[in-house]
Amino acid sequence: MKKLISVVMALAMTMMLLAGCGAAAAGGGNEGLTAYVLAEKGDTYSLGLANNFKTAFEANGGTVVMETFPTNTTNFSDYLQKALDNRADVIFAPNSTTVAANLLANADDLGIECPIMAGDTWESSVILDAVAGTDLEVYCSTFFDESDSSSTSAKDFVSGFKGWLNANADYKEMNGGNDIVAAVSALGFDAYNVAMTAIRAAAEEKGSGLTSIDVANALWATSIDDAVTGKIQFDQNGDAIKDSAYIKKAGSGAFEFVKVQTSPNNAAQGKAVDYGSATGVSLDTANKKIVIGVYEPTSGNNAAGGKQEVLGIYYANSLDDTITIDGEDYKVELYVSDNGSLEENAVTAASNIVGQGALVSLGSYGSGVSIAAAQTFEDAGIPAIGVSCTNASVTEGHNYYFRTCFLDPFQGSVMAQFAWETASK
Amino acid sequence: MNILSYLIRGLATGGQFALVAIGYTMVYGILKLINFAHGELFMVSGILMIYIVADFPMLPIWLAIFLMVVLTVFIGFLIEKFAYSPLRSAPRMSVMISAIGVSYLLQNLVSYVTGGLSKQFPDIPVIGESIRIFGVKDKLTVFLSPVIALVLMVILVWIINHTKFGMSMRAVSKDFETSQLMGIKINRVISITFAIGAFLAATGSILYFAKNTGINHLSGANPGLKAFIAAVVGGIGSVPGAVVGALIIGVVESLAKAFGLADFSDVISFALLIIILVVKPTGIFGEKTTEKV
Amino acid sequence: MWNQNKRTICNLLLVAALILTLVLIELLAPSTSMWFSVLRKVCTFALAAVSMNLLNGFTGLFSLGQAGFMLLGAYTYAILTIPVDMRSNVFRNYGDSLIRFQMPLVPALLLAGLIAAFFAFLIGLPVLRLKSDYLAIATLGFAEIVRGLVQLQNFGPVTNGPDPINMFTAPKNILVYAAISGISILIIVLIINSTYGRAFKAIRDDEIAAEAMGINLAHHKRLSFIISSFFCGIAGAMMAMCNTSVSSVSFTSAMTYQILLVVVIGGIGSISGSIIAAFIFYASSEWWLKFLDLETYTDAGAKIPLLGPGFRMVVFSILIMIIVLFFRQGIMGTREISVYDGILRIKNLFMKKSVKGGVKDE
Repeated sequence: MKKLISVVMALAMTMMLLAGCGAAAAGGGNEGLTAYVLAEKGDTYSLGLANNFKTAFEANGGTVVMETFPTNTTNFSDYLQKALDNRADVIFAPNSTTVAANLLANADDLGIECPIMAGDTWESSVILDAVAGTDLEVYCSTFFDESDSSSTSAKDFVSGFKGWLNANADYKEMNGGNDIVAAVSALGFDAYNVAMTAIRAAAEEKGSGLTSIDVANALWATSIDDAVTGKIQFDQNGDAIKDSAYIKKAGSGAFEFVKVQTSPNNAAQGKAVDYGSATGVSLDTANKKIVIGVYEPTSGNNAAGGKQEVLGIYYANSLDDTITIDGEDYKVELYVSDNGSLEENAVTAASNIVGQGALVSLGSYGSGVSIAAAQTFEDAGIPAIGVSCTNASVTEGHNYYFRTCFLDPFQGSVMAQFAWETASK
Repeated sequence: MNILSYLIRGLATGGQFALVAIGYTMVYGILKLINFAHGELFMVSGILMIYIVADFPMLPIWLAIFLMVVLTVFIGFLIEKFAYSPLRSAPRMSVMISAIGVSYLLQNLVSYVTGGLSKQFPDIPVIGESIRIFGVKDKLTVFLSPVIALVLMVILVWIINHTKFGMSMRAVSKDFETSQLMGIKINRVISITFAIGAFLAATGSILYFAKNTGINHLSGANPGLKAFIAAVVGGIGSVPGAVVGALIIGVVESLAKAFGLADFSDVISFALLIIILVVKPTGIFGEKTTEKV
Repeated sequence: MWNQNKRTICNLLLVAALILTLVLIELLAPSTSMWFSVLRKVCTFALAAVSMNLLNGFTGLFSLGQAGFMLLGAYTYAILTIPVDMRSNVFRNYGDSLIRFQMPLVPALLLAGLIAAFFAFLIGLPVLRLKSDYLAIATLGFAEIVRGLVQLQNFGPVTNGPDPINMFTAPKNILVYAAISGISILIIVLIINSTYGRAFKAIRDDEIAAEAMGINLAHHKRLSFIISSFFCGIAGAMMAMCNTSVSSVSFTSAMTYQILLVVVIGGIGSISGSIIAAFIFYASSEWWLKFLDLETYTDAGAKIPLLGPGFRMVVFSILIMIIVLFFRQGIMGTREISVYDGILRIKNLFMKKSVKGGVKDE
């Protein structure tokens, strides 16, 4: 009897807790469009993009119901039920692929009919596997399209990269077991070439006396017109000046190109900042080699994307790995340092790259780890080129951090616009 | 708002967690050990299923499930033999640390093997079918889970209360040394307890992953922790307590989300844990123990 | 003088030698050396491990709330030491920071400890009545609640919500870390050797007997919990410094387990053991074993089997299991390092004489 009473009391207590805090859930919006936004607690990328989407969607006059879920959540049915209850016209869930694998399975179970959208992370074979055999309508925004035949450099890259992947079983396995070209691989390829261009420019000017500071200075002046993902030039923040995003739909076994969403970007190329008395890392003239650090998650939640980025960099390295300085050939070596997708590993993973005497570092996939490593690269005087870290805070206030992709405010508003158009139909 | 759908899914999660929670509670009852590796065992059994189906595609699904359950039970048995039984006479803290070590090892091993990528659980016939009951559309596993959990609980309680093995289990949990003197083979009892726990975790993993199909090395962390909270809330050491606790946790979390408290859903279950611990440390069904001088 | 204090003097010499080594590394090692980041981390986690040891090893209270207290310390320190003109930049997603002043390093550190201690006081009131495992669970739950609350966007103007905090004062010099950690550990050692310390140990060995001896159980447990949390808070602040950014996602129960493993490897109940273990643990996991994560090819181009992302952690967890199972005492057991006894032992080894006084337990 006592036990029964305590069970009842516990239940009553929780009910009171719920009744006390839970103001009735937001009623379903009957006028205008409603978006249900789901982000991961504590994830800089996810929340940043979700907030940008929310702002843009509300500016259009829509209603946004935004919720967060704790890390390591595997069951999303209740959240998706919330979207159904609110009669959401679109669901925006910019999360890691690990989350997506479950979220999409649950969405299928509940019979979600509205489109589900996310940012750049979802362009992954994990999503294709999850969507296979379902009626889900899944879209993501990304940096590059495999079937884009407008530029020759993109065409060459796609065919070359596919051939390279198919020739090496290990690399194909790293890519998720297929030869689909991920946008992050293309970005990694570009980031490597940007770094090489900058090192060559610095070598032109300083000869074998060049340091990583010279490379950083050269980056501000770097301009590559025929990069795979479009023209690359850095603005005063160190961000590549991008004006378009590719929107894709997850189909059976491949991503289908939907449209290019453009939004004008009037930023001008930035001017080199004053690096003061920083000495940086000097060229290794004894061993005749140049180390380029690759700061990426090859394990943890973001491993899938991190590995694809690394592959793009490997491929670029396999095509171009020698720089001639003062008439002597320097071999370019990559040093991959795994940050495990965790912020607390960032500093040591970055220090490992610094310890290898790298002149420049590439990466990372994931904004949180990039922000956490920024100070370490700055202290060592090594420029870092972010590949697909889209959060605005990566480059702001960090003079040594550049990046080759677009930013979340841009991506958020692009997706909000696209969501609006899709849902209005 | 459709409260019923939240209730049903809450009970489903509760039922799935209950099967894991029984494993915690039985091991605690006998060894006074919080088996931190139990949540990881749950995850490993899901991963095993994926690899079995992928590597032996010609195997019928029921045989694959059988193989997976056998392997999981075997791993549960190995963990006990290698990580816990050498520490039988060591202080309780050492055993608990060993459990943490095992869970660390299993996580890292799976992360290495899968490359940290999320893998898709295969389609399970029958329980993976989509149906609509009371206007709630979901997989059959959602509606079946609480029922299966309750049935297994009843069987287990019957075994504990009415069989010879159950009697030796109860004796061991009351007094280790005396039961040894009475001729009970303690190591056998402990091994079987771990095997039962592993069997239930494997069953739970089929029910759980049939719905939440993406598995990576961290997939056991959350269910493990929640099941563990459930075991404490219900009164650790008590099998019905674990099931009731798990159902409560499942329903409370789902309702919290229904009432717009999604941002607090993790905080709420931990708050519930602390409240229960402070108000009634032995949980709902737990027995009061006194320490002898 | 020599005869009375020979042990202390010898140990002081050891500490002096350690300091000298650190100064030499700081002055001589190239700026890109891994020594710096590793030693910063070692100092931080040595303090975290020692403070956990004070509670788990010396008082016998099994608490798993370390990550929560470190989070409180890290956030307090980081929020208080951001330069005023940087604040609007860091808190850009939440308008501006509610706090509009900057504190110097030392007061901010102390405040970090005090905030953690204050929360320890609050949570300790109900929780410390619980027995061993229940206490562990309750503190674990507390740490998760703290993390869950700090991540809320509603607290954005104070905590920057889920976004990382950076731009705060973060010294680079390893001597600063060594000094903070060293002074804190010295204070803990002094506490352990005081009457309070003896009372803690009595509680660890037998609660009921200790109570019978007239030790106020509740009072001493709370004291130990608060002191341990205070230094945990400082360790959290140090962690913020060496990571140069703070993010609540780092402070998971996995971090607590890591600290616990350091304590176990060093020996539960040994201060010097915890320090040595922190060094071995972090130097090997972050530096010496790093090569295991790299896919390596021999000169002939053949791939060395097994090596690849994630393999380091597998090897590392196997090593940990071996220590936990077969070297249960850890490196030091409950002993402390003593140069004098070491010399005696080596001398006796050479002279093949039996040790007279033997090696004392502390």
